[in-house]
Amino acid sequence: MNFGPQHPAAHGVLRLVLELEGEVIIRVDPHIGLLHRGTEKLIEYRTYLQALPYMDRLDYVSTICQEHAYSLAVEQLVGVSVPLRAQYIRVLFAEITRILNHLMAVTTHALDVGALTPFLWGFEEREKLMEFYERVSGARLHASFIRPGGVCYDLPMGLLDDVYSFISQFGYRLNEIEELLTNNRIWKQRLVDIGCISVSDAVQFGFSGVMVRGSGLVWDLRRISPYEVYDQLEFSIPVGSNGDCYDRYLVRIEEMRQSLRLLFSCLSSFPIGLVRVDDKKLTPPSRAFMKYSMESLIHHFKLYTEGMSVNFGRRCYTAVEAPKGEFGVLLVADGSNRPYRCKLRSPGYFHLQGLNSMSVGHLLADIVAIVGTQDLVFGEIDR
Amino acid sequence: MMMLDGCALRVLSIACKQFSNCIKGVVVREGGLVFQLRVEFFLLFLTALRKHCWFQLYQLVDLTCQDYPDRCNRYWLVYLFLSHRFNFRLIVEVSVNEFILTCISIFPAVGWAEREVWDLFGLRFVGHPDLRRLLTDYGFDGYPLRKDFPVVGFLEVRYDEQVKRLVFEPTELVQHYRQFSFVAPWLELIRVNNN
Repeated sequence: MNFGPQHPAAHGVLRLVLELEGEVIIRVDPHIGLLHRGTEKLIEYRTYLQALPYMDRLDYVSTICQEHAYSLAVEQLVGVSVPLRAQYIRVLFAEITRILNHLMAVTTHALDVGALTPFLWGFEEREKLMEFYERVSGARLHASFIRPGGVCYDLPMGLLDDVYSFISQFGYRLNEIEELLTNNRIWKQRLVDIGCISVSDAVQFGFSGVMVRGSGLVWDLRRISPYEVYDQLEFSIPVGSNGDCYDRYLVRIEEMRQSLRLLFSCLSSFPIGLVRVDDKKLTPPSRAFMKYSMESLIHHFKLYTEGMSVNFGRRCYTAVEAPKGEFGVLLVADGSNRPYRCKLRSPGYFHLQGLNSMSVGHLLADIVAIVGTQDLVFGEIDR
Repeated sequence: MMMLDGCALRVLSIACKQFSNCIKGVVVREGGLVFQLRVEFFLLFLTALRKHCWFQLYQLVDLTCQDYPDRCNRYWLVYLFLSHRFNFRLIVEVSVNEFILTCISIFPAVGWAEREVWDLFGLRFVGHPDLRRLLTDYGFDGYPLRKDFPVVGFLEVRYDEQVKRLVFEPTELVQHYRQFSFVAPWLELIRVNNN
């Protein structure tokens, strides 16, 4: 049976070919590639800065996290580290992105399962967060904000105050959503003991992020191999015990609360300083400098036409804790201003591969719950 | 001089002592350890990565491929591994020409990664239970991520009103696909010589 590419619960373009016996699933065969845009091929023909907007369009729900991964990868290739203020700005937006993504994941999961209201409430909160994206970069969704070398622009005045007012009221919004779902009999019946996966199976299938934390493994790249300033900020890592959909839902809700905590500690220790690496061979000078200094003008020109170059033979793999799991970028440089190969390791790809093993023996309606809990976004799966 | 942490040093010493016949070369790169393997022994080494008590690299993070059409072994496969137990990442590289054995029996996560490499590069994995196309369209011909495949492709699709279905025709661009390389000519020569 075809759970076709155009289905309200198919989370984008997913074609699932299901083999059923009555209502019980025997085999699931996902057909992906319906959103394949050839991102990796295109990146081989762009400079390092021009390739950045492709990252936004991968997981279009949590856009800034992929930019973050890519920027970290390029910085590791070049061997440069960004100033402290830029790191704090990146962490601020990474956590805003985490809240954005989990709001979407939980509320669309609820929508698929049948609860229609949290979707609307969650998306109102997403609008408030996307307003922050827009103030800082100009675009609500695909903000090419985190760039190799730092961050594109400094924060506008008043943004941090508004982030604080968002944080103060978001806890109550989360309580409202939880009140509808967490202790709801129907929600529990639909989610408890559905899509159970053990830690060893999850690790074997390449799962990461909430899928692995919901089964009990304490694995969060922000804590295990901290990048940016995560080692200086305090937050807890929620972990489930059963490995079923309900546990993963609870983990996501708690992660949103921990993101609030991270945002608050970020705000309280925000430094002043540069937002881009000082090296003008890597990052462009500000427009004010460009207009009166000849060297800045030349750097601006060279960076926006030729772009920066990375030595031959350098390659690296950098992974970040994206809201969906471990998002990794493998960049191979060949001495020119273009990457030789850029491989994007998306968490949803491996989660969808494991859908077969997670859903055998369940009923057709449970497929919807399992697809929702895996938090699939086809931009990153198909690339 | 890159610094290796204790875990990486231990892995390096065990690999060099016990698996020296498998390894063609070791590189220490930014971010960690890279083993370049001989194709004949690469399955043995991957099994060891999983089963050896000091490696315990249970998770295959990714499998990618690079295309170097000028070299005699065209495809450069890169396997990325992660050990949760030791918080250790390892990169394993193998260079092959046309086909290689699958490691799906050791790492089930590699199923789709191998399908993708087959689909986009044309590198066959012998022994894979389900090697069919993954990302490209159902009747697609060609291997897109190879370096000799143009970025605009060979065929383009459009809906034909007369025939009332999709038709595939050779790609016709209104304007020739221009790729500007703004690298200065003298630097371009230096880079070509370096490569």
